[in-house]
Amino acid sequence: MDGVDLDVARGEFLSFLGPSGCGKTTLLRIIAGFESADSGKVILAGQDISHLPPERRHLNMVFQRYALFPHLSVAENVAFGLRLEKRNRADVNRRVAELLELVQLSHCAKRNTNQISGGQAQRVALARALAKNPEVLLLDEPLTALDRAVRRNLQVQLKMIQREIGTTFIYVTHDQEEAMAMSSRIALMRDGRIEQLAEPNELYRKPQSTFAASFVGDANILSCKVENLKGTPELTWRGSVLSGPDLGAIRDSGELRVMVRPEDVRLGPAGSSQVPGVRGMVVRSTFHGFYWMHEIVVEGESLLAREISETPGVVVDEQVDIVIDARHAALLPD
Amino acid sequence: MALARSAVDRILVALVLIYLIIPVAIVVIFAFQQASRTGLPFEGPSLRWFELILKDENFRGALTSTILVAATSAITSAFIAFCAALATSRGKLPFSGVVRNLGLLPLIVPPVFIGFALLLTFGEIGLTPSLFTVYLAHVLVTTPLAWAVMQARFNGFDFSVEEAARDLGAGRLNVLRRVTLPLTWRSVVGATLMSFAFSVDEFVVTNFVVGSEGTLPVLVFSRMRRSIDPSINAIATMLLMIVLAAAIIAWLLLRSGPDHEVLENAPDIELPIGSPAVAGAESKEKSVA
Repeated sequence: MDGVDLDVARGEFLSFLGPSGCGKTTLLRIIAGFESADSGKVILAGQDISHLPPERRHLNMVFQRYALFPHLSVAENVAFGLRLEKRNRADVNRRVAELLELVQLSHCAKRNTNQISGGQAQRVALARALAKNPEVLLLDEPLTALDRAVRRNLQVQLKMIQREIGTTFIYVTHDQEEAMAMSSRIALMRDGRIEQLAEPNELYRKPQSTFAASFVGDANILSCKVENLKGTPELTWRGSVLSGPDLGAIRDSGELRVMVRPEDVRLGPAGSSQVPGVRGMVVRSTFHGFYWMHEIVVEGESLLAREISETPGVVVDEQVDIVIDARHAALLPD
Repeated sequence: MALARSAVDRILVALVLIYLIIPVAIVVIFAFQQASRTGLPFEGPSLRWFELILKDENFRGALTSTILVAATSAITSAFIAFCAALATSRGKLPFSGVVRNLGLLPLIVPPVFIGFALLLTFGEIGLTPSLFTVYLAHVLVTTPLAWAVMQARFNGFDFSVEEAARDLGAGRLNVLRRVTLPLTWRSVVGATLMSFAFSVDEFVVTNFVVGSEGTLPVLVFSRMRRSIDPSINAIATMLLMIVLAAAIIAWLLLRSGPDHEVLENAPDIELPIGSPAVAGAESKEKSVA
């Protein structure tokens, strides 16, 4: 962990996204109180909670492998935190029923934890963690252990529940699609630092580093030149001008890395484009349901192009002209 | 050929079993002998030797001492083993692997050595031989057993349930009382009973450190030096029953083992949300509930 400075707004759905070992889980566990930071503070609603043990922090956690109490029933699991508060029985029962209703598991209340599916178990864990109305709910890769279809389904449910109750969610995941689909903001992490903190679409469109560009979605990282021939600086890649990205203060000629998403790479048969493009060879085409992904090689440099179509416009081994729509290209400072 | 081989196998197994069982059977059978010798021909059955020893002050004293030492040392050992296993398995201690193996060390040290070492040590620190020194010795020799049982239980224990409990507001004591103990009590009781059974018939180490009040195995040994009559069989038989009962209960508890622990959830068969099949199923199940 290194110099992480982060403000989370009330009611936000914030994700910590990053490869394994980037420190996202550690950061979450520091917030929860299971691990302590060498320096720094955790402040919740204006109060410094850095030195409080986990049981006295008003936040709750959903664990990756559910961590349900195997000796208790589903309803007793949900009631666990409430019982500790010594609330009266009727109160507890009402709240448990309410929560099971919220996660659509009322019919499982009396079951043992080994009589429910993984997806149901994680919903029980969610209900249990929400029981005490935490200021913040921490979720540590809650869907990783589940099958793909269940994961999708639960993503939607989680998002709906979060909107309904308005609790702040801090969500740890290594799955960029999951982070994109659910979060209001994403903190992209790498080597214990926050690489970029942005809304999903901004992270996708305006990555601020090569790492961010390639971790979130598919990306082409092009080595471009800034040339100042006609008085205004121009961005060129392999001799063709990329118009669109704001060069800002960059004036002098030099090398620059630019990210272009595959959907902004257009292909046509060789010689077809009016604009002088770059010529390459299609080496691979794969079908993904509603789009084709073509891999093109230009003098040893590999490039991805997404074509939204049922039938591919180009075929493997074909020479193609590449035209790059640079309106959404992002300049990478590193 | 196959038949012949399986016949040979069976005979061998039978012989081994007979060899194991016969000495036990002899002791038990002649405990019910009417005559005052422990040999054939068998006369009886009779309970006279049981009656005799039950009236015997020495025997009753030894029985009380045995149970007292066994119970206290077993509880102590199980407590030590529970704490040690919990601490070393949570994985937050340095050298926990070393500690884990050190606890098993007394198992491979010869009992004669342990007994002699304890005799010297107690002498050095001025502890006179008594039931208390026997208790201390038994804690030493039974802790590794309890240790092994508890380590086995905590090996693979999912400590995230403890974290979940703390996260939900349980302090350390509440975590222990409401989560850790309910999930491990079988092993705790099992470890206690195994230590108890071991302590009840421990003789070698005990003989070094025992004072004027002896335990049952010591009594059997001292009586045998005078004469062998069926009262010794009766004492040995009662010893066997106590040990057997404790061992069987321990075995039953440990066999059914961590029934709650492994959470093998059924596969998910849920369809994507909003699909009519799921919506229908959910509402139907709800109305049934």
